[in-house]
Amino acid sequence: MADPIIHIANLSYTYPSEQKALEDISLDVYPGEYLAIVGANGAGKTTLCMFLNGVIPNVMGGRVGGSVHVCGMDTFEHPVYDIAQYVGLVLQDPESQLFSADVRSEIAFSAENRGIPRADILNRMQDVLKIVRLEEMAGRLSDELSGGQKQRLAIAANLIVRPQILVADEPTSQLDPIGKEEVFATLSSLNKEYGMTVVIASHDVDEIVRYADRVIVLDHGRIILEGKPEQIFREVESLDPVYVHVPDLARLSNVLQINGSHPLSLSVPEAAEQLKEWLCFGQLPPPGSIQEPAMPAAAEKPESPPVTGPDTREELAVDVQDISYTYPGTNAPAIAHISFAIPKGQFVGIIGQNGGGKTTIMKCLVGLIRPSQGEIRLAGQLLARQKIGVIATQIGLILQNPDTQLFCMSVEEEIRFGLQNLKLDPEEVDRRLEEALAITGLVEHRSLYPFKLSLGDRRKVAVASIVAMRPHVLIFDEPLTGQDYKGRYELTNLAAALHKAGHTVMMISHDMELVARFTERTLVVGKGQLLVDAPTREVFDHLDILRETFIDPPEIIRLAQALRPAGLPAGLLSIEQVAEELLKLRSISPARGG
Amino acid sequence: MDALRLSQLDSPVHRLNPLTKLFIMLLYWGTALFTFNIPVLLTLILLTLPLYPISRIPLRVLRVILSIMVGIFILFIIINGFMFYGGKTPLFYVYKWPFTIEGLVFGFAVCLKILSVVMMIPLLTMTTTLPKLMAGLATLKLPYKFIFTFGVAMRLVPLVTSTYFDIMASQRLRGHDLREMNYFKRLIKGYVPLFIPLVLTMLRRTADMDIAIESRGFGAPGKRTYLEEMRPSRADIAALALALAVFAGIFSYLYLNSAGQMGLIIEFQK
Repeated sequence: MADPIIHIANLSYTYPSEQKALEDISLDVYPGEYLAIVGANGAGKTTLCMFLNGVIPNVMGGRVGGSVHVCGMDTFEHPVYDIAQYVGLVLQDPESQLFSADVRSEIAFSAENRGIPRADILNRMQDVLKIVRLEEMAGRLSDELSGGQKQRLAIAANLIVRPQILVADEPTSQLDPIGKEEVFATLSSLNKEYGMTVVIASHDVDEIVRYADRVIVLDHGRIILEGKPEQIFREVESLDPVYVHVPDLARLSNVLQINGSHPLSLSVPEAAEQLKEWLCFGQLPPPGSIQEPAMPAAAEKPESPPVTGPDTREELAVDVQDISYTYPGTNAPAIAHISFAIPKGQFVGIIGQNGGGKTTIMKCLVGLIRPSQGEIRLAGQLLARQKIGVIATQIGLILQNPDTQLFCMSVEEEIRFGLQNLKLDPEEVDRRLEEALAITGLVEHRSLYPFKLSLGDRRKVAVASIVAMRPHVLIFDEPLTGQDYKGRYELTNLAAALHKAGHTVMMISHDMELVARFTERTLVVGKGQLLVDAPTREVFDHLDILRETFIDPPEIIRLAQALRPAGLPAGLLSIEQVAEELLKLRSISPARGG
Repeated sequence: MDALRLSQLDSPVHRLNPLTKLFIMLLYWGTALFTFNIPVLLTLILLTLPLYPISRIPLRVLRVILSIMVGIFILFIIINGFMFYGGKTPLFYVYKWPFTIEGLVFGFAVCLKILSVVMMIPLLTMTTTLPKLMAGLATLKLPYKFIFTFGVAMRLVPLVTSTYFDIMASQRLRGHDLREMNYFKRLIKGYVPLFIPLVLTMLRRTADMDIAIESRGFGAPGKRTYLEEMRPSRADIAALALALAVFAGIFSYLYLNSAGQMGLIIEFQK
């Protein structure tokens, strides 16, 4: 085997703030390898990535032990600008890693710093733009790009100096499904077609299974598992305690206890064929021995979506009639002729591509913008002309980024702020404060400075400060962005608890698995239109429309759809449901029964 | 943002070297600040006007400039009408205070001066991309670190604005609405919940940006190259020649018509 291109020996690291981040990491990465790093937030993924181009310890300082060699260079000894010729680094936030006004100068920056002649830069730029498929965007400003395009631009900006390694730290955590797909496809083509070594830290296990050669699992700064994705993601018992997402099919395989010599494949079509055989003959054929079947035909989708009946206006929490809105300075409407009604106490998911109109609808609902046409009623009352403080007591919106609202010195004060704006008397403020702290599980953090908390807990503070104002309707706007497995479940469980406590909950999300698991009804919004409005168990059968908005149903649902010809009923949403039905089918299977 | 977007367009003015534009602008500003001669100031403004459509700058930019300036202009004319030291010929009286023709004309000349200076700014900023301007400044041997800081600051403007609007929205959702507060309440209580998250968010983002900048080899030793080509073209030479001819004409006019006595204003004082 060739010499490793990255050689890490007994690396330990403590941040200048005395926070211990890595402990005794030893790792070799070989040229042309695609390595994925998984682990909960705070496990050390970002820190490890920063070591690979020398940003740590060269820029950040801190206490280091062990050694890191990249392309034969000791990264502790060389300045970052030297290592940057060999290692590109793509960060999480698309906004803050672009610092030039337009696409061309962003890409050129790194090459200009290296003193590469202008003619060479121009030649290389053509190649790089082609690799990241941004040729048509070359003349644009960085601000005009979508999230996925911005991340591809960040990749291109690194590629211009022709590095041998590309390190990406959660590059897709803030993107919608299409952006995520774009970035993974680009990284994969760099690896497969150009032989570049790729190291990616990510929570997207489905994509890691598809693309990566090897996975390491980090927990509290240590490598606890290492191996091929197919093998690592089957270690459900080891992954659950460290909050690493296990792919649906691996979990199903575990639930059905079919882990023997021919385990269930982690690819949906293969697994479906294997399970068909399993249902008939009681054992799994080896994966890959079967031709890929087509996805279920669109003709199978159910009849027109059932209307979730508005009984009377008073029983509706939200009643939206034919609203449209066009942002000032633009010509095309952001949303056009949207109508829907949500009865009190429903849990509704809202899905669709970014820029499709989801957030615009929500902003109309809470009075941040006023629709240019149509009307909105909350619990039967017209929304128009109500003061924002009054609206806040009826409907609460928890925005994506909690840091846009935190400004107080303690969690408690942060929650009090909204209540004081409502001019409630001090006793009532205290009562509601306690209530909000209790339901969000923040009681023990009450006197902490909010920025000391993890992202998940900061989101909970944002939720608490809205919940305290006691709105009947709660809207979560992308509450799961940048969240790890644990944070995602804690927040959706919180949303579910609030729903149980009587709130009407609407959740905008790209996380189809959680939408499938928790919501009873789903709206699909795209191109400013309401494309589908149906019970969640039926929404994922509208494959044509979902593909139009670049949404892929979760693996378990795709598997259930593929197994319908074998007798699996429609409308299954969770691993437990699918496993139960499969076991039922198997017990009545003629091959076994006879 | 508007300026950044417009600077991406193409026109004869866009194609000029930023240094050519900078030189002509300085020449223009120098002239406008030097003279109070109303015909000359009007000529300068009239010369600038056609450059707007040529540079594909929409007329609404001019409208915005005028709407911002009009209040200041009225104030200037009123103040000068009553207070101008050379005022002799009263036009009308308010109580006992005379409003003089000389003051009116002087105030008008000052307004023209300001207008001509301001009108010239978009012709540079809205026709020159930031990278070109930065490369132009680099050829003037300004230190790159200084130029780069300027460039990043320009990039941060839209980022700060969008973050600020997000913050304003999330505080409004908690019943904190600036529009429902009077001036004093705003000053005392209104801005704290907006500015603290803004500063904290921007600090975090700029720390990220710092990592990105370092990771792209900023500060590498050796001579830096520039994507933007800075060699003057024929169009640059032609533009410079034309500008020099026009300003030579203006100065000789001023000289021949008692420029030393600053044109019209002084005529009134005789």
